[in-house]
Amino acid sequence: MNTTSSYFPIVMQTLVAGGFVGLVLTLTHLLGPSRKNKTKDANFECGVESDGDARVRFSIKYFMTAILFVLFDVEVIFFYPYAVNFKELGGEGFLAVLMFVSFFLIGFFYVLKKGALEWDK
Amino acid sequence: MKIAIDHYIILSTILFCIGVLGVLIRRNAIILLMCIELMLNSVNLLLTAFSTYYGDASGQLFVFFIMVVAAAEVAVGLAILVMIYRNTKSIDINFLKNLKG
Amino acid sequence: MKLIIFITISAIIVLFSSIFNARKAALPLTLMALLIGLGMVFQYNCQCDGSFYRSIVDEATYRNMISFTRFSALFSGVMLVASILIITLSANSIKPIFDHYRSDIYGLMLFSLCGAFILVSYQHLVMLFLGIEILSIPLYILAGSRKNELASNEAAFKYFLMGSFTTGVLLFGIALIYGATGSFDLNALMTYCHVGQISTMFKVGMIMVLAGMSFKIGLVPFHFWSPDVYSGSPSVVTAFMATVVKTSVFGATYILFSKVFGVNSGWTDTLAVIAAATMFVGNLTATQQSGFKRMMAYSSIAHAGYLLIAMVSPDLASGKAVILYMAAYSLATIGAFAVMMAVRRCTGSDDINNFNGLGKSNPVLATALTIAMMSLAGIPLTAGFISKYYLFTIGWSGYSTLIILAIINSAISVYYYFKPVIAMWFKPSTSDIEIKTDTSLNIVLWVCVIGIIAVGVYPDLILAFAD
Repeated sequence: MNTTSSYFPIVMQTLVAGGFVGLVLTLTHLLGPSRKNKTKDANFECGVESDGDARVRFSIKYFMTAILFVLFDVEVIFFYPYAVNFKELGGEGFLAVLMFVSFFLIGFFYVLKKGALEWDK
Repeated sequence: MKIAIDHYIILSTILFCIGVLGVLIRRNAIILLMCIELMLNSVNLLLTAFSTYYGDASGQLFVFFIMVVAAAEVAVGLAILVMIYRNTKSIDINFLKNLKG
Repeated sequence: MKLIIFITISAIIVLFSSIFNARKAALPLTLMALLIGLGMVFQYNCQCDGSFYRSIVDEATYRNMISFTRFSALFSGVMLVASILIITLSANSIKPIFDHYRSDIYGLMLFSLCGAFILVSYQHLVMLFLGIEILSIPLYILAGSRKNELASNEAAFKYFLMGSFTTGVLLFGIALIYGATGSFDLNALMTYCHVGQISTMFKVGMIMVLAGMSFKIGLVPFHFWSPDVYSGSPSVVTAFMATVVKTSVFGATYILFSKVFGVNSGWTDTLAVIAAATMFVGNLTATQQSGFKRMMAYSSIAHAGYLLIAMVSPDLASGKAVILYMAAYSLATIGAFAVMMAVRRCTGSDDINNFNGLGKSNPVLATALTIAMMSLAGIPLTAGFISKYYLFTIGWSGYSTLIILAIINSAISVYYYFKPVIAMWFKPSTSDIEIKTDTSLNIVLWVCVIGIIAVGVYPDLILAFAD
């Protein structure tokens, strides 16, 4: 079963998908009228003239929140193996998870007390 | 149809090499962080593949640890980067040239 | 294992002392935790009799993840003593503007120390990885703890970049080893190595793990980051990196190679070449340096080279030699850093010219630095000499050429270690700045000097613990 011919449908699919996209793009390029001038090439932004740079610096508060979110979010990963083996691990496993969560909360408490999540300061 | 383990090894080696090359070549600190993540994730792929191959869960548990530690590491790295940005107003790694001698 | 849990909990308490407005308590709390930890290590060491490498606690209790042996207890002891000295040293050296972070700095140091303890007692490759990360992540922050100094920022980012890159390499190596053997357990790896064919995948994995460890220890050709990071970081953190971090990662490498491969394996040739290259690069580059911190960084690279002799020697007693060497090296390095910090604080830079005339203006500091430098160079009657002697006699039965190269290197090292000594005693003072010291610095200096001479005259002080 594992021969070159068994990959044939995938190749066909790739060819058709790529070919369709290529064909349509070329067609619109050829058929559509092309008028180039300054007004036409300008960015369209709800009719208001665009102004300034797109790279606006945003507040450092977002950064703190984002970093803390990533950290606490990823920690949840350890609940997954526990959830899968919930029955087998029994009381000992529950204690271990409780300890893990309490460490977690200690970290959260530290973050709160340090004022990392205060918005209007 | 089953894909042989060799393909996983080759794929993750390629990903790992892209990550290493990125760290060596690129000058933008954020992209360096992304390349390091790529290296770590290629390891995750390899471990998961081996874990399935041996039918042994410990490889997948290792992946969990790598993901969590990588998140912590990147958090610290970004914090260092913000600190540097405040002082130099740039994240190009050319600023890493003052300590020489 | 209890030691690791205890230090973790005390780290959390120290970290929280700033929240409850008890910042003043951070230093005494940290020192107390470390002293209790030292007591626990003593107790461990008395508990066990017999083999150096047999676990003190039942390994199954911790699911074969950790095996706390006598070897780990002694390594932890050396690291605890080094941390106590470094933290005492930092009591007055943290600048007033950073006093706000004092508890954070101590807390992070304790967390880092936990990683170090895991590294000298792991039994499973997951613990090796976690140990290295717990050791390194707080250090990235500590290296950049002078937020407004560009040098400190740069050191932190360089250390972070190199560290996480290394972690990637190390992990890929671990993944390949897992692919070859199907297990992360050191005992299983040992069985794999002694029974049957060793596959190429395993060898490649092992080389990558070795490369990762070499980065952290600073072995040639992976040493280039360490002078930059050492000179940019705050001095207290540099002293911590040069002693505790080096000791623990070296211990981890030693465990990996001695446990998995046994004493006589094909790896010794590779390690011997790395050892010779590390010694020569470290010593020859150190002779070119004008800054004290950079010189000490290259000196620490060279010492890592000498230590590799223990790994290539077929003698089982080489573990003891490593512990003696690490103790001697840590004492001398911390003593030298203490003097450098006093000079730097008063003159503003760590250039060796700033040591000129210190012999006249402050003979106590100058004598202490002279003794520390003599110990690092390996002059008789100091701890450095006796530990080098012990290491070289043990290594002689393995690679005698390597020992001859090491002795040549010790001779080269005398040249640069005596540069500050000559500057202090024989050169006239260039400025009239008075070098002042404080109580905590004096205590550290005395402990280091007495320790160096006591171990140098009577090495059984440390060796007795290992018998």
